[in-house]
Amino acid sequence: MALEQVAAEYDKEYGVDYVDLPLREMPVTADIHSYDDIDLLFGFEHGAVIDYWVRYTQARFDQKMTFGTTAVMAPDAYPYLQSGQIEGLVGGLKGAAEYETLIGQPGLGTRGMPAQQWAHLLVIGFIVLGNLGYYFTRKRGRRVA
Amino acid sequence: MKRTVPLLITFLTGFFLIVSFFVPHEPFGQLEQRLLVWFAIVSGFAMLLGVDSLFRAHLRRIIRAREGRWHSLALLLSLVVTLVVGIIGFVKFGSPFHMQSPFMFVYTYGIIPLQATMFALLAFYIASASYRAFRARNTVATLLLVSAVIVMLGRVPIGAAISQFFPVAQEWIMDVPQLAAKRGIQIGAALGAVSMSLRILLGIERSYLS
Repeated sequence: MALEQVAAEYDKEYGVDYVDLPLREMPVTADIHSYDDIDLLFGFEHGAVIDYWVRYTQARFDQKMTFGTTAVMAPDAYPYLQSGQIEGLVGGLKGAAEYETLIGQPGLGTRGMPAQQWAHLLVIGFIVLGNLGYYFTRKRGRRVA
Repeated sequence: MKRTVPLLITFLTGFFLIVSFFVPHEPFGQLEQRLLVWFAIVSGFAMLLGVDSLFRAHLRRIIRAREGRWHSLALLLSLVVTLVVGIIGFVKFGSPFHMQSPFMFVYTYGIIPLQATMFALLAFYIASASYRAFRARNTVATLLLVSAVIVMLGRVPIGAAISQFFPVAQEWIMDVPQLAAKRGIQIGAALGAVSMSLRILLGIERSYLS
């Protein structure tokens, strides 16, 4: 409902922000009346909300959009990116770090990459251990048989 | 009559919603907004029924001293406390979502840390699952295992440091096989949803009436 409301004078329904400041009085939203006034929409999303944005906003109003999502959700948005339904995608911590590098302002995303790197290496270590255990268990089973 | 009227309401509502999706202008655009408001109201009542059912089930468990009663007690206490602070926030600040509202205090200092804890615990489940699931049992499982390792290495700096192959291969896996599978699932799910919707609109699927 909210996504469609933006199509025509959204401030009739959503006239204030979360601290009750009127959107019409903010420079950033003062001249925005509908999707026609938004050149590029950037959404920080999780869950299936991107599907709704694409279905209700991009498909119906031809709105240019780009999204920042969690790494888990990024694969769900890949089809929309490849088909050109969304303009760009900042996927997970890696996407955030890449974006920070692109604009030359390293921040939280870049700082978080070492932690993610070690987490990935730990999981790979578990996979290797699991497979070694599996291999030797099977080998021993064959020898006993 | 008992069946015809609900079927007619279902058909007309679905028909108008489909038309309004493709014609977002008056009078259909307005009608769609109105129907969405009705949907929100009906959803509110459905949620109320859900809360009632949840409350009764857990209260019964506490009264009958069944296993897990302490968890039920924690759930009911949390439910009541959240409801009370929500009402206080509404009365005092006009909305429970006001930043000074006690509801937002519970949300910021209760729910968010608990969710963070849940996510942190997920790391151990993922580690345990990767240990058990990615075993080279056969060719398909080995392919999955190799793909997982390439993606995990390709998405962190050490992958590129080892070899440029990892980020490139990671990108290819995500852009080609992953995307093909994802798109297949999405198209399949959409076709399923369309066929089920048509069955409901045309009155072929009537299980919701029983």
